Amino acid sequence: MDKAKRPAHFPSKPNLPLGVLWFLMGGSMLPHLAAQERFLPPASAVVLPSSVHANGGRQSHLRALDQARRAQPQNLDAALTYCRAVFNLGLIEGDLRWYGSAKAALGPWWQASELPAEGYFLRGLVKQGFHDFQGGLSDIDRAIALEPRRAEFWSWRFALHLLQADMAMARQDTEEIARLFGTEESDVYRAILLYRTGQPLPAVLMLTRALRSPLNKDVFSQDWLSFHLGEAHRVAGQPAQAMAVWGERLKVNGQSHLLRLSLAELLNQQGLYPQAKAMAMNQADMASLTDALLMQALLASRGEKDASQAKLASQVQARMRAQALRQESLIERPKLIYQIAYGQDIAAGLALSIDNWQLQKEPPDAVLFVQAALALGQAQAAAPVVEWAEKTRYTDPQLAPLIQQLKAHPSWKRGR
Amino acid sequence: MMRCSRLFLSGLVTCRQIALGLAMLWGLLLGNATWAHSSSNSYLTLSMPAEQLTLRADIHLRDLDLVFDLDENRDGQVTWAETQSRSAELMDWMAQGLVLNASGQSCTLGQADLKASLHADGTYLSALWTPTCLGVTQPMDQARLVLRYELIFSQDNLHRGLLKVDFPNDQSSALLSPERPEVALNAAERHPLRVMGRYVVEGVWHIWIGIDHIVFLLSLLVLAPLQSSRQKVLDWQGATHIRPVALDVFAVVTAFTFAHSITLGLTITGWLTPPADWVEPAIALSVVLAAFNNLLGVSSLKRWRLAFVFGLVHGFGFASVLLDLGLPASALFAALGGFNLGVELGQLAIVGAFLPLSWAMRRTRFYRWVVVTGGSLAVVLLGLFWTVQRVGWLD
Repeated sequence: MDKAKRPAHFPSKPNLPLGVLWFLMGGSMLPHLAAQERFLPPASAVVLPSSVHANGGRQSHLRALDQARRAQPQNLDAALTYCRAVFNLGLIEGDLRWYGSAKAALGPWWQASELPAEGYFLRGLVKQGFHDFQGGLSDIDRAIALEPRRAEFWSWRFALHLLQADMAMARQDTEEIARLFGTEESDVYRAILLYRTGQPLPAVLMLTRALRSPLNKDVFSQDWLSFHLGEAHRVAGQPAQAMAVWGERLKVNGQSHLLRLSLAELLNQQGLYPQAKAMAMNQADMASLTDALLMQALLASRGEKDASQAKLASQVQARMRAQALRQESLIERPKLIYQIAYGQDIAAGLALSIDNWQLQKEPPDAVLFVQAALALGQAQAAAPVVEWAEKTRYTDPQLAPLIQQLKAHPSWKRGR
Repeated sequence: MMRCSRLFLSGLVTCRQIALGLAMLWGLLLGNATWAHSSSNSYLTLSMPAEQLTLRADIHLRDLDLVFDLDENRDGQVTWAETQSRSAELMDWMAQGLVLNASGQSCTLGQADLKASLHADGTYLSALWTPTCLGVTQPMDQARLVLRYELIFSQDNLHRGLLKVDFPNDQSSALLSPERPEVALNAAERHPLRVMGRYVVEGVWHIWIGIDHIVFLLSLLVLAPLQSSRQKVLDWQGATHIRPVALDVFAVVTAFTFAHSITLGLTITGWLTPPADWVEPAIALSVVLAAFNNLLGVSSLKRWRLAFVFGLVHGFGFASVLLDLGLPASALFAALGGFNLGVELGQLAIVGAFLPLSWAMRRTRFYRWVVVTGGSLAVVLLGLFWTVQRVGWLD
């Protein structure tokens, strides 16, 4: 038996009558979606509200890059250019499907041992996107060895170290960034490291300064710095300021999925359900909503106790079922939220949290992990979160009381 | 500081290289586990309404747009008319990426009936075929069907085809991926006896590679060829008759089997949900206690009772393996029964190998000192190590 594998797949919501019925019928462990009804739409009906080639005003560029790659699928330059474009789209839209496109573009070079720095870098990014963090870091290190003065290589190296809670290496990366690119650049990374290690207030000052700097006036830097400034405010216990930063930035760039999601989550945390729902449901078409925004809309709807909760819940459930049929372990936070925060299947959520935490250590996952452990009275299960928080000194207004509850829980003391 | 002036996606952004780094960092810092949108699936169905084989493929229009660039008038939206205007291309493309064989004969998909279907994540193109498989004499649901699916993969490596087989006597599922784009559907292989046979092998294999189960079982059996007395275990005498030894072994094996069958069955059917993080440590702890019990001499607990209590825990472990193996869509009883039978056969093989040896050595000092006492001490230490390791204290 694979001892590394915890029993994450136990059907953890026993349903006696249904279980018996299913057992007697020799039914399937893989619940299939009911066949959707076929219909003939009117010719003028919009069947895809937003063409993938037209989103975000990218009209001709993606088409051109795609055509160039398809014309010469073995041409590395064409593949890398397309890969970078779709990878960025994945980040901006939070859409995993673009990562699949990036990996498909790199397919002929997936095992290659001789690549230019850009090739190693992009392959490393895609690998980490599939949770192969060591493979990703290794490729990024090779890219850095070939071209040490590419700031984005260092930027991602820093991010991967942070993700794995390797704060010493992340700190070392900020020092290298300072040496190679100057202190103004490295201050941004230092600020992130500060608020992730229990010092959010100096981070707020540094990020505010960076946001105002003429060097960071482009859309992407502004979005990204706004996100981190809001996070630093949130971690510092200043939710109103965080919401203001994100709200203001969304007025400028309403397309930022990350900012919209962050704001919707915080509004939900603050109990501002109508606002949270409006923020999440920005697009009228429910089917076009990302899973993450749909999940926030569902939480808001439950908080509001409004009539749309059932419809949203059925929408989320259908998506989760479809994903379950894929039988793969790409962990998605919306699933954790659905299982734990929404309470659909807390035991399964705890099992998933245990697996997830071995791969990556992020504050929102920490909160869900502790919530699940508390709900099930298995405080010791979330001990790795407490160790991580003590080691990194990270805390935030949501996590701190949960960790206190965890330590006060009888099952915590029994395990010590 | 290197600076760059590059065209970035929309062509509107002039950026510094570091800014690109910053921009690319976002997803990772908050969103690496936060993929906001599910990955792409197509839904394939093979069925036999009115005794006629049909193949249906529902493909997300977003994926089709990625491949075909359907937005003809460049208004940023795709209408049904725009989709229909490309129907000939779409059908050719689907016919190339969907290949069906029946009993070695290639089937012709023919003209697809194109409609739409609504799924949770948007509108799909729904293509329906009535394939013709010339030369196939048996009913189609009895034929050996092979479906090959290769759509979208070259555009999206994460795309999957989710196949549902919905025949009168066979409902099953399969997953088609770039690594495994083909699935064979053989009615004979889905026969319960064949399924049972496969799972018997899995059960035997699991016991043989599950060192903790073996060590637990041997710890419970090692005292069987000795006669218990008030003396220390080191001074116990070898049994004089085989019958009580065989009965003792029978009691232990039966109790273990009975207990783990209970929890295996209840877990598989969803009646019981063991806490996610204690099953593996508890199995390790059972090894410690079973071995430690051997050292207690006359004060030791009845071994069949230990076998029963900890057999319940081992059953959770077996269930985890069985679920990881994936259960067939039909013939669940056969799979569950086969796996359990395989576990028993694996155990009996171990008992069959161990008992004659221990019987032969039962009167030697080597057996009492090295095998029973030394072995039990070693197993206690090994079990403690496993326990600590599985609790995560060695991480």
